Amino acid sequence: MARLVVAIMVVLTAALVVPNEASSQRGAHDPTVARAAAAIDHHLEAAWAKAAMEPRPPAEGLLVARRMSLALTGAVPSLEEIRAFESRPQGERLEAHLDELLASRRFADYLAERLARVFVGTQEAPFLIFRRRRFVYWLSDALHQGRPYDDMVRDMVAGTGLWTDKPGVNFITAQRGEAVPLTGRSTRAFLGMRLDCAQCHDHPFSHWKQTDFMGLAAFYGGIDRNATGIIDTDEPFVPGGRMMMMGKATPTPESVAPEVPFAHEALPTDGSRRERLAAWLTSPSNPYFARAIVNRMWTLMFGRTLNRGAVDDLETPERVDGLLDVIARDFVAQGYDLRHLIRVIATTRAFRMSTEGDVTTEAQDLFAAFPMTPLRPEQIAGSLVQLSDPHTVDAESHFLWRLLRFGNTRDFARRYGDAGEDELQARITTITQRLVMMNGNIVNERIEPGLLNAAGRLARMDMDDGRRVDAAFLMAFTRRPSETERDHFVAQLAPHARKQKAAALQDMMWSLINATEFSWNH
Amino acid sequence: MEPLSRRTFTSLSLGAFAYLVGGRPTRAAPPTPDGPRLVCLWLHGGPSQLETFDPKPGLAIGGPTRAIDTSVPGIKLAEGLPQTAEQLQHLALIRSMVSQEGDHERGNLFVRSGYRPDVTLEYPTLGALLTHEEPVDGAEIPSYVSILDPTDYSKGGYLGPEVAPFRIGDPRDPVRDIQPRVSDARQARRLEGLNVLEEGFAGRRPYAEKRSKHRDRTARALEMMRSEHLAAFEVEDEPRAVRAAYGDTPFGRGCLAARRLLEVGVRCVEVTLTGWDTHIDNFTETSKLCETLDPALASLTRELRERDLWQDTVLVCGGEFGRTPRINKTEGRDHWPKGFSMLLGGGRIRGGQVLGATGDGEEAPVDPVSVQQLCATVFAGLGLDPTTETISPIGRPLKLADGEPLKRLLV
Repeated sequence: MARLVVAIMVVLTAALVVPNEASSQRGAHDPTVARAAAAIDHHLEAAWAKAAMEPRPPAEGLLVARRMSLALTGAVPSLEEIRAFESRPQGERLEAHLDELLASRRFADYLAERLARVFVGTQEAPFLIFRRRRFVYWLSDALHQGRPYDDMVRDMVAGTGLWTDKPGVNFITAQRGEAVPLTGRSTRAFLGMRLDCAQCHDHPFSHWKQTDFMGLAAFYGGIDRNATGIIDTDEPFVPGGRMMMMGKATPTPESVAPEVPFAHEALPTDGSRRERLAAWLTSPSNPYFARAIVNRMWTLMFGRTLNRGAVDDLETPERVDGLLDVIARDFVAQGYDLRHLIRVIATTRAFRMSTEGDVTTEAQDLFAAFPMTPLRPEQIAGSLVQLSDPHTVDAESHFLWRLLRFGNTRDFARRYGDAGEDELQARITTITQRLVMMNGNIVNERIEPGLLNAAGRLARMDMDDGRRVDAAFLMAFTRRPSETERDHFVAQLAPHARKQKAAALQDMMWSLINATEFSWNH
Repeated sequence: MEPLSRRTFTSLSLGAFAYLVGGRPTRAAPPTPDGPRLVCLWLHGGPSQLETFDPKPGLAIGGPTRAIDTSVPGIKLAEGLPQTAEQLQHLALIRSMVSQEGDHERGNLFVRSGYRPDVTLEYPTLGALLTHEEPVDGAEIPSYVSILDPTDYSKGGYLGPEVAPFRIGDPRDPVRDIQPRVSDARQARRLEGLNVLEEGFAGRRPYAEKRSKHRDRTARALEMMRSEHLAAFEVEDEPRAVRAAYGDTPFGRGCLAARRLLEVGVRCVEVTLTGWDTHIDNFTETSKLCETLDPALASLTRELRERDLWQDTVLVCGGEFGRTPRINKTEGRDHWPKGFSMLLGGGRIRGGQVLGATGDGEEAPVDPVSVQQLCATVFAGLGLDPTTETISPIGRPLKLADGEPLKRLLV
């Protein structure tokens, strides 16, 4: 009997592991990735030709690797990663770097944090912090295992149980189980629609009415909780009615029946209200579902949306007509595999294009040049922590590092101006940001001569000043210095004996960290 | 690594960052200290109206709090605010504020922006809207300053971080991140290095680099670091008697700094006094808080008048909601958005009057005032049209405030 149980366990475990294995084996050389990326290239090339626009040439490989690391882990590549990158044959470097990033826990953690902002917000009320953290871990695990995106969303929307046991239900608890905010979140996060706006103004491109919104809200109308956690009841949805955790009842006479505003055929008749909603949301015949996440992942990689509006407002016009659908169709065909989607985007010609030269806003809009965008606060903080260490700082690193990174990131994001849930839209640098970077503690700590930071490490390394300058540029900019730059900094370091060398190195690091090149993605 | 004085830094490092300043004049004209200004004294946590601006002595809901006469016959304040009582002929009191938000975060976002928080859009606060509407030409220091606020409820919202407040703590402490970390010589070396890097980067990406405004903001930050206007933060320069009048507390110093900042042309200053969330031991706690609030609020009102700033400056004092008439089992009061007080003054606000009234129990107040109306009144008091629209990023036009100004409160 015991052996049978073990055998079953082995089979089950194997079954659970399979999707992950399959996904991780499917590297960027996968023909499905190349094919999908080519389709995007083709679509964009037609748009460039139509606009008589000359696309920029490809960027340096290391620079593209930097973009990948910033987008997928929220930090610049480490010296260690740069060395690994350069040790590979030319044609394999970017693909290998991408594979490594996507397989890392850092990627899952970073993307989970970014997505959690969309799904449950950034609330910092004490009782929510633990639920939120549980939710982020759950999301990170799901991403790490390569679970299909539609599957994760069904867990969030239709899940029942305790928040500790089924962390996906914190999507529900984060909104206190209230139908109206849940509907607002769901339509924005999963469909890229601001249906809730339709209540108060006429949207120029849509025709949604308040009844459409309330019909959707009715799917969330029966949520309650008991000792077993979040449950579904038969209670009808009454707008303005009982709020689960407030315990206040202001009954109005009319209850609303659950109804979807479009793609009616995708709504199943069986199951709980939330199961039906989840099935409808994630149905391949609901065109918005894939488009919404495609736009998010594109924005994660490019710092710029595919539409001319907020990332969750897909009813605004596209920058490049039809591109969203080209990518979304492939994403659906590939089983909602987020890592596949990221690989495709990272393999496009547009992603690997230079930002150099006389680039116009129009060119950036059509992705005929890689758009230059400011890094998010957590990307700056992550990069500052990373550049202090030649080795890759990640979840497996020393516990101390994780603490340091968590604490610093939070405080820094606050000072620097947290981007919150919003994607940065054509943002510019602010004076406060410059003050924090020039005079603030977090930068100073990272460059002060010391055992655990960049200047200290560079001072102790047994190398000439030219190589020190090279290393500093690689750590901060992921490139080597130009001749002018190398000459300048070598001259700055040269007159200093060992004792003052650290201070001179510290000043060089300060200059690097305060440059546009450090705090902008380019 | 001795910290250098602002003045030596000015003279020494000018050359080093001349490049950064580029086309800008090396010395911007000082901001002209005119135009509308706003000072918000946020009583964070939800102050009890019954122990401050709306006492009810002799009633069950009133607790032990006594009332005192003010400079306006017939209007009484709680006994903890004697100095404010003397200034009341210059201030307008709303006693019938009604909000729909009983949560600290949501309540604060609502009162500070005039818009109920919603997931689709982050709203700018009053100070951000004002700074956006009335930018200060050639400002060397930020036009919106927030003092002692432990939260990040005040923000630029959809107007962006450009108009978000610059935050400082107790004005007795040096302003954070405003001093270079190293000697003049090293700072010059750092800026020279930065120059080399920026030149190279801009040379390769002329257009995008310019759009980023990174270099321009570096130059302006450096300007701010050496600005004479930073002296406005240094309340210790004030005569002892003036400091004493505001009270020897962080909040008192914050209000004094607010006056100094408004004098040099800052558009909006917020000063936050926390601790009003008195679920437990309400009466002891609020009486301590009033000892801090009263001298600061009264001195600020008096000094703004004495210095001819009053007609340009609107003062707002209040919290995100009030507290329950009912006294709970721990001698506390709980959250109560259904009838609380807000104090206004300055600008076109007509002082010496009360609008609205709460009852003897939990009934709805007479002449209820919405948060939207309050904010519209603030803008009208500043001489701005509250219906002026800004286009939000989602293409939705939004008014400065979404309500009718309270005509009765305006001159």
